[in-house]
Amino acid sequence: MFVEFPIIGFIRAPLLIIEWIFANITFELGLIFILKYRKTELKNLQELGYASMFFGYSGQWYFNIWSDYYSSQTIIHPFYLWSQGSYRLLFLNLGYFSVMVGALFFIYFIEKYKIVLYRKFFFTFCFLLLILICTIAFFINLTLNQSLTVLLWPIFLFFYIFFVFDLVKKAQKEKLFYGSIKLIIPVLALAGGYLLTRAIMTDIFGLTIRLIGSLLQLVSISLMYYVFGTIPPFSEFEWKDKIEDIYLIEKGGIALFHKNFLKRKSDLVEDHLISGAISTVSIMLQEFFAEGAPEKEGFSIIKKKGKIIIIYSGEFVNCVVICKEELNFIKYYIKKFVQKFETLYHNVLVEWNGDTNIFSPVETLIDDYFSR
Amino acid sequence: MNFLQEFQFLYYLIAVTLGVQLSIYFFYQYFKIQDVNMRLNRILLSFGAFTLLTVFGAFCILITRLFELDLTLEDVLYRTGFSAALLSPVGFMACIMIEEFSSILNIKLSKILIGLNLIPIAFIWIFSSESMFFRVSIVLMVLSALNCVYVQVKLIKRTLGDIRRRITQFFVGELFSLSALIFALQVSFGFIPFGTPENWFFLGTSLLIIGFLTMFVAVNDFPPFYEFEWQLNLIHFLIINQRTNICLYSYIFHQESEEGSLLSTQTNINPDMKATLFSGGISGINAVISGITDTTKEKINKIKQENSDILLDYGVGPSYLTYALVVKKDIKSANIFLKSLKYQFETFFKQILIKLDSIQGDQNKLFSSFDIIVYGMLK
Repeated sequence: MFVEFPIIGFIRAPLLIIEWIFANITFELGLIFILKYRKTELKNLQELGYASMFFGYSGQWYFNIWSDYYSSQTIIHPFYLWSQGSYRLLFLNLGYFSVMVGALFFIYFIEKYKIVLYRKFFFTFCFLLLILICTIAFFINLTLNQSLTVLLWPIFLFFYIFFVFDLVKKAQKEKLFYGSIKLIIPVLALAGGYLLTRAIMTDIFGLTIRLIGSLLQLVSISLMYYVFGTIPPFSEFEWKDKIEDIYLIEKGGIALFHKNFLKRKSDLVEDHLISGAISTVSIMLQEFFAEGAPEKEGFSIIKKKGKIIIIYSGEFVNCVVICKEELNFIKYYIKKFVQKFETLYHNVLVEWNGDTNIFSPVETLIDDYFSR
Repeated sequence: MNFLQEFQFLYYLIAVTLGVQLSIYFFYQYFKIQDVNMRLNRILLSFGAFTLLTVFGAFCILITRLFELDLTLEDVLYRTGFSAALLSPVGFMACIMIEEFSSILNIKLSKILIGLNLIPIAFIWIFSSESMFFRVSIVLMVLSALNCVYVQVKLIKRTLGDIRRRITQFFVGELFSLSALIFALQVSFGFIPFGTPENWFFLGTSLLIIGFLTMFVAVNDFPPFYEFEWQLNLIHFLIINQRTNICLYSYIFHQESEEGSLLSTQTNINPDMKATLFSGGISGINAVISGITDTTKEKINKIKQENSDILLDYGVGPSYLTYALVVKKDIKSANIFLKSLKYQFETFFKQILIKLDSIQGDQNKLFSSFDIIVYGMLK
């Protein structure tokens, strides 16, 4: 039993309503991720990745609705650039490109932080290759992509399973194991739902199976939104390992606190000498680069092979972090830490009498922000 | 159903999806913060009921307009749709007809208006939507709608800070949605002779979608709704270290005069001295009462004076801190505010409180930075 397009008959209305709602909600979820991305101070590209996946998938369904409910499947000779084709085939192809581009950005944003499988951007490259092949196929014959895009789901699922496994490995340490396991089920359900809406299934079981598939996708996409919202950014797992030393120095050069993360013993005299030297460097840098009056607050970064020295100048103190990589997360948390410290001790710092004892709780504060 | 009709239906379905999600979100928000037991939060139920009834009513009417249905079913659906849409102001008012809202809502008048609002609903079921009785009686619904608008304007005037901003934003969204109802009536009855029903429909539905989106942004993470002007009830807040009887932190609330200028609480005693005396006093009272009543484990929660009350709460981490809030009247908001102050203090100074005993020097100065948080909470 081959399904005729555009879909007509009693099933058209319920099927169209479900798929329309599904496409709209998927688009809305993409928008919510964009809003989340814009709202947070520390930009997390993973959220942009989720958004692009939702947008891509909703785009595919908008095109599917157009192709299956409003386009004729009658083959026309010639059809625009092609020797033959139909409007339905054209919109189906546009749908394939929409989902492929969405998935490509999702994979790219994940691989930007993480090596999935064995090489950086391996899956991004695979997807780019697939898009390239599909683009060539699109210009040769509009029917080719119906078979070629079958590869999309296995590659995506393969990537996704590795992504989840990697997350699980990290999560065992971060107590997120169950949260990450939950990630697999909705995506598999989505893939299953998608399969039920394809011609291979509807030709055998009729359009009722497509209705079930669409409903399944609606449920799984909502679950996906929920579980994606609970995943911490990948970069959050590793930034702490890159930090070696933290110095908190009063603007005059007195060391208020020092913590070494490499288990090296701290030497009080050495701490004061280093603090004094760093303060001088910081003042010099501010003087060098200031166009008018030197900037009171902000970052200075000194790079050396294998070492990065990040200096953040607050209103009363400088915070110096010696680390292996210049990561946005480190800079973000240094700023947060200095802001919190200066808010907590504001009235003490305004009239500080030189007694460092009052700063003894800073260790707990540093542990909260930077400890592994 | 032709292509244009189907397109109208799909377009309206966007508004329905948004509206249903929005009302679910309102109810969810209400039940999420229900544990704080603030009756003013019932405004969320009002918002939810209003949204759901509006969207459902218009959806039923649209179905009857676009689909070819069995005549009886079409008639029932049409009447149901109008009833739901007409009930939306009733749903709004019914949820907030409680004593706590009596200062902004005339409950008697609202009851009368609800009664009047039920007349067009009765007419549509007794007669039909075509009858003159029904059409004229729709004016009665307008009165209820105006009352809803009036209540919300008063609500905006009486609230402050974040709540005020959100209610204003919601109100703007609601005005958009209400204006969509006018377009819906135009589509059904064609009061205005120019423009096609389709044009009016798309215009109205677009306004509805804009309204819902505005309302959605307004209600996102809606904060607990304290009593009106609860801030004016506050007099003094102290945090006492019971081990040392030292006042760690003290805040005297400024009160706004009628002219709008700020007045400090008048006292002949130096505020620092007052805080120290108070700390010792509270600890002493606690010890005396515990001794007399032989209840060393239980702690005093409230001390009542002629014109003011002292509400007390005790620390979680560390447990030897006492939080005292002096208020003019013991209202629920004050208790919740005290709990929030405790939570904020213990979170903000978490790292310092762990090492409180080992800190030498001026602790009072150290904790004085909590002023910023208190100020923020009062906004």
